Amino acid sequence: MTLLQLGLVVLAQVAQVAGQVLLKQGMTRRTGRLSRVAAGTALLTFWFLAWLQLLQGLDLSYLYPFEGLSLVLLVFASGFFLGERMRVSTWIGVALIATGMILVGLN
Amino acid sequence: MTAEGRTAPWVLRAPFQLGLNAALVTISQLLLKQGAPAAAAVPAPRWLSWTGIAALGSGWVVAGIVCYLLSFANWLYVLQRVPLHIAYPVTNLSHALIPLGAWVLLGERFGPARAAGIALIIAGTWFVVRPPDPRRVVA
Repeated sequence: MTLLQLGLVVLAQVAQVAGQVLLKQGMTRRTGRLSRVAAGTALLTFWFLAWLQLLQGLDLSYLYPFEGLSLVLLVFASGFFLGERMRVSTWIGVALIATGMILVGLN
Repeated sequence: MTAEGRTAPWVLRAPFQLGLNAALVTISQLLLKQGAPAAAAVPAPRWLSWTGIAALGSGWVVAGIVCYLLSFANWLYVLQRVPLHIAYPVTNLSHALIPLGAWVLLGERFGPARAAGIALIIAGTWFVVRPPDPRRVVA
C-alpha cells in the first residue's frame, strides 16, 4: 500500500461516515433536507469511485480493516451527531461484525 | 419503527427493505467483481484514472452500478425508518453474503479464516437486530 493509496482509503472512509450521517439527517429532518441529501450523495459517490479504484490495485486484506474501522466510527457518529442511543448488544454485534470483516479480508 | 411501518404491506416494511439492501449491495458487488477483469483492459485518460472510470467499458460493471443505484434509493427509504446505528451494521451483512455468493455463483473458494469471518458477521448482525430484552432498559 503506497502513501497515496493509504490517503485515498482514509479519505474514502471518512467520506463514507460523514456521507451516511448527512443522508440520515436529510431523510429525517423537516428543514434543510435537500442540501444534506445532496452533500451526503456527493460524499458517497466519492467513496464509491475511490473504492472501485482501490479494489483494482489492492488486496482485500488491506481494505477490509478500514471497512471495519468505518463501521465502528459510524456507530460512534450515530450517537454523537444524531443522538441515537445504543444498546450493549449493538456494540457486541458491531465488534463481531468488524472482527469478521478483518477475517474475511485475510485470504 | 414508525406506526406507518406497522400497517404497511410487508414488502414496504423496514425489516424487509433493510434485508433487501444487503441483498442489492451483494448483487451489485458480485456484478462488479465479474466485470473487473474486462474493465482493467479498457484504457482511461490519465487525469481520470484514479476514479476507476475505465470500468464503465464493461456491461457487468454497468449492471453492477444500476444495482448499486437501486440499493441507494432503497437505502434512503430505510434511513427514513431505521436508526443509522442499526441500519448500517445490518447492510454490512453484505460482507458475509459477497464471499458466499462468489463461492456459489463464481466458483471462488475460501479458507478457514474467511469462513470464520463470515460466521462472525452473521452472528454480529443477529446481536444488532435482536429485539430488546423487556427486562433491560435501553442504555
